[in-house]
Amino acid sequence: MAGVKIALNESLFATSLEPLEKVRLKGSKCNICGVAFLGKLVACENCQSMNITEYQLPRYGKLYSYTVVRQKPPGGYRGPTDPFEPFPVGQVEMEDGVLFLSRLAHVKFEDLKIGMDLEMVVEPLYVDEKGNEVMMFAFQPRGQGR
Amino acid sequence: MREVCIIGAGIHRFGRFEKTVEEMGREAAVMALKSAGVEWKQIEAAFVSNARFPVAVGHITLTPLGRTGISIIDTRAACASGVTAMQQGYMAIASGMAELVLVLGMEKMPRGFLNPEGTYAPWMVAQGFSQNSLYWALRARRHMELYGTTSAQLGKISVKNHRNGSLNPYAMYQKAMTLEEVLNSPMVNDPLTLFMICSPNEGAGAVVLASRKEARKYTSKPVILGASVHRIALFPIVISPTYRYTTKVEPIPVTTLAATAAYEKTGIGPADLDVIECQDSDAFSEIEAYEELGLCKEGDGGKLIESGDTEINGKVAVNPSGGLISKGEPLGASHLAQVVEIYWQLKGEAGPRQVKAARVGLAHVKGAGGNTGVSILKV
Repeated sequence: MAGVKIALNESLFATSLEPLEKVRLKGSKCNICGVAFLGKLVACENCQSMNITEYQLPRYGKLYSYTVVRQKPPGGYRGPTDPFEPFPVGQVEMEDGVLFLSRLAHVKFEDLKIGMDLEMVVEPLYVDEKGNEVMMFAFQPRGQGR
Repeated sequence: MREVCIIGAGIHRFGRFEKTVEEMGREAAVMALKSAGVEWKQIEAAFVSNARFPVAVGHITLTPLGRTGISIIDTRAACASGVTAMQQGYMAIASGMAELVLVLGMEKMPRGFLNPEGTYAPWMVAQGFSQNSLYWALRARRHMELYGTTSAQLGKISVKNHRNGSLNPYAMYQKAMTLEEVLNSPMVNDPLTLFMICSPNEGAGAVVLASRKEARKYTSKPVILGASVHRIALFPIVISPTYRYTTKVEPIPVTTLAATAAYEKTGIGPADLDVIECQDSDAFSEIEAYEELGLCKEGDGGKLIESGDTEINGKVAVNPSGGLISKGEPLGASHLAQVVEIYWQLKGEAGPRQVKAARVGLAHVKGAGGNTGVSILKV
Protein backbone atom coordinates (compact mmCIF):
# COMPACT_ATOMS: atom_id res chain seq x y z
CA MET A 1 0.00 0.00 0.00
CA ALA A 2 1.43 3.33 -1.02
CA GLY A 3 1.54 5.78 1.85
CA VAL A 4 0.59 9.43 1.66
CA LYS A 5 2.05 12.50 3.28
CA ILE A 6 0.37 13.48 6.54
CA ALA A 7 1.17 16.32 8.94
CA LEU A 8 2.55 15.56 12.39
CA ASN A 9 0.30 18.33 13.68
CA GLU A 10 -2.27 19.71 11.23
CA SER A 11 -3.25 22.65 13.42
CA LEU A 12 0.15 24.28 12.83
CA PHE A 13 -0.29 24.35 9.02
CA ALA A 14 -2.35 26.86 7.01
CA THR A 15 -2.17 24.92 3.74
CA SER A 16 -2.25 21.35 2.48
CA LEU A 17 1.07 19.51 2.18
CA GLU A 18 1.03 19.57 -1.63
CA PRO A 19 2.93 21.06 -3.29
CA LEU A 20 5.58 21.08 -0.59
CA GLU A 21 7.15 24.38 -1.62
CA LYS A 22 3.82 26.17 -1.18
CA VAL A 23 3.23 24.93 2.36
CA ARG A 24 2.80 27.71 4.93
CA LEU A 25 2.43 27.68 8.70
CA LYS A 26 -0.66 28.97 10.40
CA GLY A 27 -0.45 32.14 12.46
CA SER A 28 -3.03 33.63 14.81
CA LYS A 29 -3.10 37.33 15.55
CA CYS A 30 -4.98 38.87 18.44
CA ASN A 31 -7.11 41.77 17.23
CA ILE A 32 -7.05 43.39 20.67
CA CYS A 33 -3.40 43.39 21.83
CA GLY A 34 -1.83 42.68 18.45
CA VAL A 35 0.33 39.75 19.59
CA ALA A 36 0.75 37.06 16.93
CA PHE A 37 1.36 33.36 17.55
CA LEU A 38 2.19 30.14 15.73
CA GLY A 39 -0.82 27.85 15.26
CA LYS A 40 -4.42 27.90 16.39
CA LEU A 41 -5.52 29.42 19.69
CA VAL A 42 -8.49 29.12 22.03
CA ALA A 43 -7.80 32.64 23.30
CA CYS A 44 -4.94 35.10 23.19
CA GLU A 45 -2.34 33.85 25.66
CA ASN A 46 -1.28 37.43 26.29
CA CYS A 47 -4.56 39.31 26.83
CA GLN A 48 -7.20 36.54 26.98
CA SER A 49 -9.25 37.99 24.12
CA MET A 50 -11.06 35.54 21.83
CA ASN A 51 -11.03 38.06 18.99
CA ILE A 52 -8.39 36.36 16.84
CA THR A 53 -7.67 36.27 13.11
CA GLU A 54 -5.85 33.35 11.50
CA TYR A 55 -3.38 34.00 8.69
CA GLN A 56 -0.44 32.46 6.82
CA LEU A 57 3.00 32.99 8.28
CA PRO A 58 5.90 33.87 5.95
CA ARG A 59 8.54 31.25 5.10
CA TYR A 60 11.37 33.28 6.56
CA GLY A 61 12.63 34.03 10.02
CA LYS A 62 15.70 34.60 12.15
CA LEU A 63 17.33 32.40 14.78
CA TYR A 64 16.57 33.75 18.27
CA SER A 65 18.26 31.04 20.34
CA TYR A 66 19.32 27.42 19.87
CA THR A 67 20.64 24.27 21.46
CA VAL A 68 21.50 20.74 20.41
CA VAL A 69 19.76 17.60 21.66
CA ARG A 70 22.84 15.45 22.34
CA GLN A 71 21.17 12.57 24.18
CA LYS A 72 18.24 10.41 23.05
CA PRO A 73 14.96 12.10 24.05
CA PRO A 74 12.61 10.23 26.40
CA GLY A 75 9.21 8.73 25.54
CA GLY A 76 7.92 8.28 22.00
CA TYR A 77 10.65 10.10 20.08
CA ARG A 78 10.22 9.23 16.37
CA GLY A 79 13.48 10.46 14.91
CA PRO A 80 16.38 8.08 14.23
CA THR A 81 17.39 6.11 17.33
CA ASP A 82 19.49 3.26 15.94
CA PRO A 83 21.84 4.95 16.26
CA PHE A 84 20.50 8.16 17.75
CA GLU A 85 21.65 11.25 15.86
CA PRO A 86 22.04 14.51 17.81
CA PHE A 87 19.99 17.31 16.28
CA PRO A 88 19.72 21.09 16.72
CA VAL A 89 16.60 22.87 17.91
CA GLY A 90 16.01 26.60 17.91
CA GLN A 91 13.57 29.40 18.40
CA VAL A 92 12.61 31.08 15.14
CA GLU A 93 11.53 34.72 15.15
CA MET A 94 9.28 36.04 12.36
CA GLU A 95 7.73 39.39 11.53
CA ASP A 96 5.12 40.57 14.08
CA GLY A 97 7.31 39.08 16.83
CA VAL A 98 6.05 35.53 16.21
CA LEU A 99 8.51 33.25 18.01
CA PHE A 100 8.39 29.47 18.26
CA LEU A 101 10.30 26.25 18.66
CA SER A 102 11.51 24.39 15.57
CA ARG A 103 13.95 21.73 14.50
CA LEU A 104 16.89 23.17 12.54
CA ALA A 105 17.85 21.31 9.37
CA HIS A 106 20.80 21.09 6.99
CA VAL A 107 23.14 23.07 9.16
CA LYS A 108 26.30 22.15 11.07
CA PHE A 109 26.10 22.70 14.82
CA GLU A 110 29.13 24.95 14.73
CA ASP A 111 27.53 27.16 12.06
CA LEU A 112 24.50 28.02 14.23
CA LYS A 113 24.44 31.68 15.16
CA ILE A 114 21.81 33.81 16.85
CA GLY A 115 20.37 36.23 14.30
CA MET A 116 21.09 34.06 11.22
CA ASP A 117 18.47 34.10 8.44
CA LEU A 118 16.34 30.98 8.15
CA GLU A 119 13.76 29.57 5.76
CA MET A 120 11.16 26.88 6.29
CA VAL A 121 11.33 23.42 4.78
CA VAL A 122 8.82 20.61 5.21
CA GLU A 123 10.36 17.19 5.51
CA PRO A 124 9.42 13.68 6.61
CA LEU A 125 10.13 13.00 10.28
CA TYR A 126 9.31 9.28 10.08
CA VAL A 127 7.16 6.71 8.27
CA ASP A 128 4.22 5.47 10.33
CA GLU A 129 2.82 1.93 10.65
CA LYS A 130 0.54 2.45 7.61
CA GLY A 131 3.43 3.58 5.41
CA ASN A 132 2.45 7.27 5.58
CA GLU A 133 5.20 9.83 5.56
CA VAL A 134 4.70 11.97 8.65
CA MET A 135 5.75 15.48 7.69
CA MET A 136 6.87 18.37 9.87
CA PHE A 137 8.38 21.77 9.34
CA ALA A 138 11.98 22.63 10.12
CA PHE A 139 14.11 25.69 9.40
CA GLN A 140 17.39 25.77 7.46
CA PRO A 141 19.85 28.57 6.67
CA ARG A 142 18.22 30.86 4.11
CA GLY A 143 19.23 30.53 0.49
CA GLN A 144 20.50 26.97 0.72
CA GLY A 145 18.44 26.11 -2.36
CA ARG A 146 16.98 22.80 -1.26
CA MET B 1 -4.36 37.18 59.22
CA ARG B 2 -2.29 35.52 61.96
CA GLU B 3 1.47 35.10 62.03
CA VAL B 4 2.66 31.62 61.00
CA CYS B 5 5.64 29.88 62.65
CA ILE B 6 7.72 26.82 61.82
CA ILE B 7 8.47 24.81 64.97
CA GLY B 8 9.95 21.60 63.61
CA ALA B 9 11.63 20.16 60.51
CA GLY B 10 12.41 16.71 59.16
CA ILE B 11 14.03 15.26 56.08
CA HIS B 12 14.65 11.97 54.33
CA ARG B 13 17.96 12.07 52.49
CA PHE B 14 17.69 12.64 48.74
CA GLY B 15 19.04 9.82 46.57
CA ARG B 16 17.83 6.41 45.42
CA PHE B 17 16.58 3.91 47.97
CA GLU B 18 14.98 0.49 48.36
CA LYS B 19 11.97 2.08 50.04
CA THR B 20 8.48 3.18 49.09
CA VAL B 21 7.57 6.84 48.84
CA GLU B 22 5.27 6.34 51.84
CA GLU B 23 8.14 5.05 53.99
CA MET B 24 10.36 8.00 53.07
CA GLY B 25 7.55 10.49 53.62
CA ARG B 26 6.68 9.00 56.98
CA GLU B 27 10.30 9.17 58.16
CA ALA B 28 10.49 12.88 57.32
CA ALA B 29 7.11 13.52 58.97
CA VAL B 30 8.08 11.70 62.18
CA MET B 31 11.41 13.56 62.31
CA ALA B 32 9.58 16.90 61.94
CA LEU B 33 7.06 16.02 64.67
CA LYS B 34 9.85 14.92 67.03
CA SER B 35 11.90 18.02 66.38
CA ALA B 36 8.83 20.15 67.16
CA GLY B 37 7.95 18.13 70.25
CA VAL B 38 4.45 17.61 68.86
CA GLU B 39 2.50 14.36 68.66
CA TRP B 40 0.74 13.27 65.48
CA LYS B 41 -2.63 13.32 67.25
CA GLN B 42 -2.24 17.09 67.83
CA ILE B 43 -1.93 17.85 64.10
CA GLU B 44 -5.17 19.33 62.79
CA ALA B 45 -4.53 19.12 59.03
CA ALA B 46 -1.82 17.86 56.71
CA PHE B 47 -0.84 18.98 53.20
CA VAL B 48 1.26 16.57 51.17
CA SER B 49 2.99 17.53 47.92
CA ASN B 50 4.02 15.00 45.29
CA ALA B 51 4.02 15.17 41.52
CA ARG B 52 4.29 11.68 40.10
CA PHE B 53 1.68 9.58 41.89
CA PRO B 54 -1.69 8.86 40.29
CA VAL B 55 -3.87 8.78 43.43
CA ALA B 56 -3.80 10.60 46.73
CA VAL B 57 -0.75 9.15 48.45
CA GLY B 58 -0.69 11.57 51.38
CA HIS B 59 -3.32 9.79 53.46
CA ILE B 60 -1.74 6.41 52.66
CA THR B 61 1.54 7.78 54.03
CA LEU B 62 0.22 9.42 57.17
CA THR B 63 -2.73 7.35 58.43
CA PRO B 64 -0.39 4.53 59.61
CA LEU B 65 0.71 7.08 62.27
CA GLY B 66 -2.87 6.91 63.51
CA ARG B 67 -6.30 7.48 62.02
CA THR B 68 -7.03 10.79 63.68
CA GLY B 69 -9.79 11.83 61.30
CA ILE B 70 -8.07 15.01 60.07
CA SER B 71 -8.04 16.34 56.53
CA ILE B 72 -4.98 15.14 54.56
CA ILE B 73 -4.77 16.78 51.15
CA ASP B 74 -2.38 16.06 48.27
CA THR B 75 -1.15 19.02 46.21
CA ARG B 76 0.86 19.05 43.01
CA ALA B 77 2.39 21.59 40.65
CA ALA B 78 5.31 19.90 38.88
CA CYS B 79 8.70 21.07 40.28
CA ALA B 80 6.86 23.65 42.41
CA SER B 81 4.59 21.08 44.09
CA GLY B 82 6.11 21.71 47.50
CA VAL B 83 5.28 25.40 47.57
CA THR B 84 1.61 24.64 46.94
CA ALA B 85 1.52 22.47 50.08
CA MET B 86 3.37 25.21 51.98
CA GLN B 87 0.87 27.80 50.73
CA GLN B 88 -2.03 25.64 51.94
CA GLY B 89 -0.39 25.10 55.31
CA TYR B 90 0.29 28.81 55.64
CA MET B 91 -3.34 29.60 54.86
CA ALA B 92 -4.62 27.04 57.37
CA ILE B 93 -2.68 28.68 60.22
CA ALA B 94 -3.00 32.31 59.06
CA SER B 95 -6.76 32.01 58.64
CA GLY B 96 -7.29 30.56 62.10
CA MET B 97 -8.53 27.23 60.76
CA ALA B 98 -5.86 25.32 62.70
CA GLU B 99 -3.20 25.81 65.39
CA LEU B 100 -0.87 23.02 64.23
CA VAL B 101 -0.46 21.57 60.73
CA LEU B 102 2.01 19.27 59.03
CA VAL B 103 3.38 20.03 55.56
CA LEU B 104 5.10 17.11 53.86
CA GLY B 105 6.71 16.82 50.44
CA MET B 106 7.85 13.50 49.01
CA GLU B 107 8.72 11.81 45.75
CA LYS B 108 10.11 8.68 44.15
CA MET B 109 10.98 8.86 40.48
CA PRO B 110 13.20 7.02 38.02
CA ARG B 111 16.61 8.29 36.86
CA GLY B 112 17.10 10.11 33.57
CA PHE B 113 14.88 12.53 31.68
CA LEU B 114 11.34 12.83 33.07
CA ASN B 115 8.63 10.83 31.33
CA PRO B 116 7.20 13.39 28.87
CA GLU B 117 3.80 11.70 28.35
CA GLY B 118 1.03 13.88 29.67
CA THR B 119 3.26 16.94 29.96
CA TYR B 120 4.16 17.52 26.31
CA ALA B 121 1.86 17.34 23.29
CA PRO B 122 2.43 14.12 21.28
CA TRP B 123 3.88 16.03 18.31
CA MET B 124 6.48 17.60 20.60
CA VAL B 125 7.42 14.20 22.04
CA ALA B 126 7.69 12.74 18.51
CA GLN B 127 10.15 15.50 17.54
CA GLY B 128 12.19 15.17 20.72
CA PHE B 129 11.20 18.54 22.20
CA SER B 130 10.67 16.61 25.41
CA GLN B 131 13.77 17.30 27.49
CA ASN B 132 13.22 19.96 30.15
CA SER B 133 16.90 20.87 29.86
CA LEU B 134 16.35 21.92 26.24
CA TYR B 135 14.35 24.94 27.41
CA TRP B 136 16.93 25.90 30.05
CA ALA B 137 19.58 25.69 27.33
CA LEU B 138 17.65 27.99 24.97
CA ARG B 139 17.44 30.59 27.74
CA ALA B 140 21.09 30.10 28.64
CA ARG B 141 22.30 30.54 25.05
CA ARG B 142 20.28 33.74 24.63
CA HIS B 143 21.65 35.08 27.92
CA MET B 144 25.21 34.33 26.78
CA GLU B 145 24.58 36.19 23.52
CA LEU B 146 23.02 39.24 25.19
CA TYR B 147 25.19 39.56 28.28
CA GLY B 148 28.40 37.66 27.61
CA THR B 149 27.69 34.98 30.21
CA THR B 150 30.21 32.15 29.79
CA SER B 151 30.30 28.37 30.10
CA ALA B 152 32.90 28.79 32.83
CA GLN B 153 30.43 30.89 34.84
CA LEU B 154 27.82 28.16 34.42
CA GLY B 155 30.41 25.63 35.54
CA LYS B 156 31.22 27.67 38.63
CA ILE B 157 27.62 27.34 39.83
CA SER B 158 28.04 23.54 39.76
CA VAL B 159 31.43 23.74 41.46
CA LYS B 160 29.99 25.89 44.29
CA ASN B 161 26.93 23.70 44.76
CA HIS B 162 28.91 20.45 44.72
CA ARG B 163 31.34 21.92 47.26
CA ASN B 164 28.38 22.85 49.49
CA GLY B 165 26.78 19.45 48.89
CA SER B 166 29.93 17.73 50.15
CA LEU B 167 29.04 19.24 53.56
CA ASN B 168 25.44 18.02 53.54
CA PRO B 169 24.75 14.48 54.78
CA TYR B 170 21.27 14.62 53.20
CA ALA B 171 22.53 15.31 49.63
CA MET B 172 22.69 12.56 47.01
CA TYR B 173 26.12 13.66 45.76
CA GLN B 174 28.51 14.62 48.55
CA LYS B 175 31.61 15.13 46.47
CA ALA B 176 33.36 18.34 45.42
CA MET B 177 34.07 18.72 41.70
CA THR B 178 36.55 20.78 39.69
CA LEU B 179 35.55 23.21 36.96
CA GLU B 180 37.26 20.93 34.41
CA GLU B 181 35.20 17.94 35.56
CA VAL B 182 31.98 19.94 35.17
CA LEU B 183 32.86 21.38 31.76
CA ASN B 184 34.21 18.08 30.41
CA SER B 185 31.22 15.98 31.46
CA PRO B 186 29.01 14.84 28.54
CA MET B 187 27.08 17.60 26.76
CA VAL B 188 23.31 17.27 27.21
CA ASN B 189 21.90 20.43 25.60
CA ASP B 190 24.60 22.94 24.63
CA PRO B 191 25.79 24.83 26.67
CA LEU B 192 24.58 22.59 29.54
CA THR B 193 26.70 19.58 30.47
CA LEU B 194 25.61 16.61 32.56
CA PHE B 195 27.19 17.92 35.77
CA MET B 196 25.39 21.26 35.38
CA ILE B 197 22.01 19.51 35.58
CA CYS B 198 20.19 18.00 38.58
CA SER B 199 19.07 14.37 38.71
CA PRO B 200 15.48 13.36 39.33
CA ASN B 201 15.53 11.12 42.41
CA GLU B 202 13.81 10.31 45.71
CA GLY B 203 13.39 11.82 49.14
CA ALA B 204 11.14 13.78 51.47
CA GLY B 205 10.99 16.86 53.67
CA ALA B 206 8.49 18.05 56.28
CA VAL B 207 7.78 20.96 58.60
CA VAL B 208 5.33 21.55 61.45
CA LEU B 209 3.56 24.92 61.23
CA ALA B 210 1.96 26.62 64.21
CA SER B 211 0.25 29.84 65.14
CA ARG B 212 2.40 32.26 67.16
CA LYS B 213 0.39 31.48 70.29
CA GLU B 214 0.73 27.72 69.86
CA ALA B 215 4.42 27.99 68.90
CA ARG B 216 5.27 29.58 72.27
CA LYS B 217 4.34 26.32 73.99
CA TYR B 218 7.14 24.50 72.18
CA THR B 219 9.90 27.03 71.59
CA SER B 220 11.08 30.39 72.79
CA LYS B 221 12.66 31.02 69.37
CA PRO B 222 10.22 30.10 66.60
CA VAL B 223 11.12 30.69 62.98
CA ILE B 224 8.50 32.85 61.26
CA LEU B 225 7.12 31.79 57.89
CA GLY B 226 6.48 35.23 56.39
CA ALA B 227 5.06 34.02 53.11
CA SER B 228 4.59 31.02 50.86
CA VAL B 229 3.45 32.08 47.43
CA HIS B 230 2.67 29.95 44.36
CA ARG B 231 2.29 31.53 40.91
CA ILE B 232 2.02 30.37 37.31
CA ALA B 233 3.91 32.30 34.65
CA LEU B 234 2.47 35.05 32.52
CA PHE B 235 2.89 34.83 28.73
CA PRO B 236 5.52 34.47 27.35
CA ILE B 237 7.81 32.05 29.19
CA VAL B 238 10.41 29.73 27.69
CA ILE B 239 10.05 26.58 29.79
CA SER B 240 8.85 23.03 29.22
CA PRO B 241 6.37 22.30 27.62
CA THR B 242 5.79 25.63 25.82
CA TYR B 243 6.53 26.15 22.13
CA ARG B 244 5.08 29.53 21.20
CA TYR B 245 6.40 32.84 22.40
CA THR B 246 6.60 36.43 21.21
CA THR B 247 9.22 39.15 21.09
CA LYS B 248 6.51 41.83 21.24
CA VAL B 249 5.76 41.53 24.95
CA GLU B 250 8.42 42.29 27.57
CA PRO B 251 8.26 39.20 29.81
CA ILE B 252 7.77 39.58 33.55
CA PRO B 253 9.71 36.59 34.88
CA VAL B 254 7.52 34.35 37.01
CA THR B 255 10.21 34.20 39.70
CA THR B 256 9.98 37.99 39.95
CA LEU B 257 6.18 37.74 40.06
CA ALA B 258 6.23 35.29 42.98
CA ALA B 259 9.13 36.97 44.79
CA THR B 260 7.56 40.43 44.54
CA ALA B 261 4.37 39.08 46.11
CA ALA B 262 6.38 37.50 48.93
CA TYR B 263 8.55 40.62 49.40
CA GLU B 264 5.45 42.84 49.62
CA LYS B 265 3.78 40.52 52.11
CA THR B 266 6.80 40.40 54.42
CA GLY B 267 8.33 43.84 53.91
CA ILE B 268 11.58 42.02 53.17
CA GLY B 269 13.62 42.87 50.09
CA PRO B 270 16.43 41.07 48.27
CA ALA B 271 19.07 43.13 50.12
CA ASP B 272 17.79 41.76 53.45
CA LEU B 273 18.38 38.09 52.54
CA ASP B 274 21.20 36.20 54.27
CA VAL B 275 20.56 32.78 52.74
CA ILE B 276 18.71 31.46 49.69
CA GLU B 277 17.84 28.01 48.40
CA CYS B 278 16.88 28.43 44.72
CA GLN B 279 15.85 26.26 41.79
CA ASP B 280 19.19 25.18 40.33
CA SER B 281 17.63 22.51 38.15
CA ASP B 282 20.60 23.49 36.03
CA ALA B 283 23.47 25.89 36.49
CA PHE B 284 21.93 28.55 34.27
CA SER B 285 18.68 28.58 36.25
CA GLU B 286 20.62 29.68 39.35
CA ILE B 287 22.23 32.56 37.42
CA GLU B 288 18.78 33.53 36.19
CA ALA B 289 17.34 33.29 39.72
CA TYR B 290 20.01 35.74 40.98
CA GLU B 291 18.64 38.31 38.57
CA GLU B 292 14.94 37.53 38.88
CA LEU B 293 14.99 37.46 42.68
CA GLY B 294 16.66 40.89 42.57
CA LEU B 295 20.13 40.01 43.90
CA CYS B 296 21.69 41.76 40.90
CA LYS B 297 20.48 43.47 37.77
CA GLU B 298 19.45 41.66 34.60
CA GLY B 299 22.50 40.29 32.80
CA ASP B 300 24.81 40.40 35.84
CA GLY B 301 24.13 36.88 37.16
CA GLY B 302 27.32 35.51 35.61
CA LYS B 303 29.40 38.20 37.31
CA LEU B 304 27.69 37.51 40.64
CA ILE B 305 28.83 33.86 40.75
CA GLU B 306 32.37 34.98 39.90
CA SER B 307 32.37 37.55 42.71
CA GLY B 308 32.07 34.84 45.35
CA ASP B 309 29.21 36.74 47.00
CA THR B 310 26.89 33.71 46.80
CA GLU B 311 29.28 31.34 48.59
CA ILE B 312 28.45 30.15 52.14
CA ASN B 313 30.69 32.90 53.56
CA GLY B 314 29.62 35.47 50.95
CA LYS B 315 27.19 38.38 51.12
CA VAL B 316 24.19 36.13 50.52
CA ALA B 317 24.72 32.37 50.55
CA VAL B 318 22.88 30.64 47.70
CA ASN B 319 22.20 26.91 47.91
CA PRO B 320 24.33 26.16 50.99
CA SER B 321 22.64 22.72 51.03
CA GLY B 322 24.28 21.97 47.69
CA GLY B 323 21.08 22.79 45.82
CA LEU B 324 19.30 20.44 43.49
CA ILE B 325 22.57 19.96 41.60
CA SER B 326 23.98 18.08 44.63
CA LYS B 327 20.81 16.84 46.27
CA GLY B 328 18.91 15.80 43.16
CA GLU B 329 15.33 16.84 42.52
CA PRO B 330 12.46 14.72 43.82
CA LEU B 331 9.77 17.06 42.49
CA GLY B 332 7.27 16.95 45.35
CA ALA B 333 9.97 17.07 48.04
CA SER B 334 12.37 19.70 46.71
CA HIS B 335 10.76 22.83 48.16
CA LEU B 336 10.19 21.21 51.56
CA ALA B 337 13.88 20.30 51.74
CA GLN B 338 14.74 23.91 50.84
CA VAL B 339 12.50 25.18 53.63
CA VAL B 340 14.05 22.68 56.06
CA GLU B 341 17.55 23.91 55.10
CA ILE B 342 16.58 27.57 55.62
CA TYR B 343 14.95 26.64 58.95
CA TRP B 344 18.16 24.96 60.13
CA GLN B 345 20.25 27.89 58.87
CA LEU B 346 18.12 30.40 60.81
CA LYS B 347 18.26 28.20 63.93
CA GLY B 348 22.05 27.92 63.61
CA GLU B 349 21.77 24.14 63.22
CA ALA B 350 23.28 23.69 59.75
CA GLY B 351 26.61 22.25 60.93
CA PRO B 352 29.66 22.71 58.68
CA ARG B 353 27.62 24.57 56.05
CA GLN B 354 26.22 27.10 58.54
CA VAL B 355 25.82 30.64 57.18
CA LYS B 356 27.02 33.10 59.85
CA ALA B 357 24.31 35.09 61.65
CA ALA B 358 21.59 34.09 59.17
CA ARG B 359 18.31 35.82 60.11
CA VAL B 360 16.35 36.02 56.85
CA GLY B 361 16.09 33.33 54.18
CA LEU B 362 14.22 32.58 50.98
CA ALA B 363 13.36 29.31 49.21
CA HIS B 364 12.48 29.30 45.50
CA VAL B 365 11.21 26.62 43.11
CA LYS B 366 10.26 26.79 39.44
CA GLY B 367 9.14 24.19 36.97
CA ALA B 368 6.98 22.96 34.11
CA GLY B 369 4.44 25.37 32.71
CA GLY B 370 5.95 28.16 34.79
CA ASN B 371 4.76 26.76 38.13
CA THR B 372 6.85 28.78 40.57
CA GLY B 373 6.93 29.65 44.23
CA VAL B 374 8.76 31.49 46.95
CA SER B 375 8.75 31.03 50.73
CA ILE B 376 10.35 33.59 53.06
CA LEU B 377 11.49 32.66 56.57
CA LYS B 378 12.89 34.92 59.30
CA VAL B 379 13.83 34.94 62.97
